Amino acid sequence: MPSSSIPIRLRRRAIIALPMAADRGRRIAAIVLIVLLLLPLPATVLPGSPTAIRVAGVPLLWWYAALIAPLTAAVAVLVSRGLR
Amino acid sequence: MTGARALAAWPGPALVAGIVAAVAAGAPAAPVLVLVFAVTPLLALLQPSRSTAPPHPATLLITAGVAALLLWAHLAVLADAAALLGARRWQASVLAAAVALLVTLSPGAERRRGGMLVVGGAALLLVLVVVGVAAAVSPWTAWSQAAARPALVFSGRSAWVTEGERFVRGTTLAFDEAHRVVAVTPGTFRVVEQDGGRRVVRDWRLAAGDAISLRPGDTLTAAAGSRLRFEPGKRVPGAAPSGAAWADAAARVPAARALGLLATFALGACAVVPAGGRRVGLAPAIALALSLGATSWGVYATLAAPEAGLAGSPAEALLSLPRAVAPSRTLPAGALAAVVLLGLLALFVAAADALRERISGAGGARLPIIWPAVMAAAALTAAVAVVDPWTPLTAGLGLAGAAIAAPRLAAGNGARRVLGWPLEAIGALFGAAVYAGLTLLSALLPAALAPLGVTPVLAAAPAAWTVVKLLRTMRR
Repeated sequence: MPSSSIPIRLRRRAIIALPMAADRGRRIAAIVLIVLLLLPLPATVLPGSPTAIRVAGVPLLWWYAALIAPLTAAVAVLVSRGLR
Repeated sequence: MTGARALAAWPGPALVAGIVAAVAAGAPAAPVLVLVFAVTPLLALLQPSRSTAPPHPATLLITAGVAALLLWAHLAVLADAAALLGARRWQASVLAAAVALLVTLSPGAERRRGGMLVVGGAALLLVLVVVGVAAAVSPWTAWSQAAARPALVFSGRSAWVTEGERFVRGTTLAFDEAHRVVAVTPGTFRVVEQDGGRRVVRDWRLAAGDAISLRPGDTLTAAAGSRLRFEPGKRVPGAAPSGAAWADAAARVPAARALGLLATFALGACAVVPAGGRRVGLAPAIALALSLGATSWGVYATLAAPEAGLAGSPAEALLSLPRAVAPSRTLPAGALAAVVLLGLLALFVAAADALRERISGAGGARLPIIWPAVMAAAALTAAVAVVDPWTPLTAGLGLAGAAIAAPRLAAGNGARRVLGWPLEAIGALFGAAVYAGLTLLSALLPAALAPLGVTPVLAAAPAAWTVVKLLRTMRR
């Protein structure tokens, strides 16, 4: 039987079980959400009140709390569920 | 479990009304509340899925107590709404509890829970869109307009000016300018005057149509159920002095207060919202839509009805908007208020069914009488006790965080026991005891520990977590 001409190269491959990958995504998303929740705490005590800067008439803190953080959290959760 | 079904315990009437009222009043903690309202239920969905904890009478008792507190808060908002619309508190409380029992005890209730949540949220968002279109103002423009107001005053169309409104609970109002107030129904009112630095207390017994003249610096205490009429164009007592003060209040929340709210809501959410598993479905979209909707509602309420917090109930902030911005004769304010009530009822039924499931999981499935008993106790308390719904809501979430979430996070997936007791049950009892102790002794705590009295979960949750971790290590 003739030997195959297709070269077979041995390379190291990382084999990650699907549940483990999903768990990693879940953990990363949970950390992202915790950071989003804690971020306003130091921001409110910074000198110069950067959270009071207005964008389109609305303070930055409100944009963050009502739109940016919830939207980022929703995307993080959906992406983490997609990592399977 | 789908995401919407898992999320159902979270956006109950008390939380939605509380967020709207905080935004409308310009409460310093309002942005933090909006943030935790949207993000913490998603954090709870990301909890690791775990095997069911062994049922135990201690965890069942604590879970039933948490459910009773949360149901009390939700029913109190519905009872407040009924009182504001002229009905009796007990009628709304008993009716809502009966509907919830009927739905949650019927076969297939779990499958309908997600639908109830979506219907309730959609009803409230529909009213918000109708009001926004009728006012022809986007939420961010409404924000700018509200923040630009030189003073928050009674409009000539406000119900507090035209026919007079009733106070849901006893309230003390501080007046910054001269104001003539007319009693719509007979009642006794206490006025505290500042006479050259001296406090003079007078009790006035007024008949319907009698008036009291108040000077700047005076306070007026009105009993629950009394009705008053105010002057148009005068500052709303108790409201922010100006639009700028309302808009800038958010930057002044103390860090300890913000941390306490974060801990209460994050751990409370982890206790009442189960892990989402692999499917989160619509949950992120629902959380985002409700949080944006509640914020926008509060902003519109500030612009159209700055007196929305006068009655002493968060339900007023929800009901004042349809009444202040009546879109047309074909769609009157009464119809919109009815949609608001039905939306709140749907959210309540969805939350109630999720809490029933928590009780069932803690061992209540073997004792089916517990769920109706919890609902009956909550309905009775909401009908009789006229307290701010925020009090039982934060107490329930705090207790849940300290006695359910913290021990569960520490216990992990194992089912270890100490002296025949599951670790979680020991942690739950310890967390509940610390929580109750700090709540009862809050007045005796030194000033440095005062934040722990206000938000006992800050100490009770770490204590319960540590106890379970230590016991878990010792048993290895």
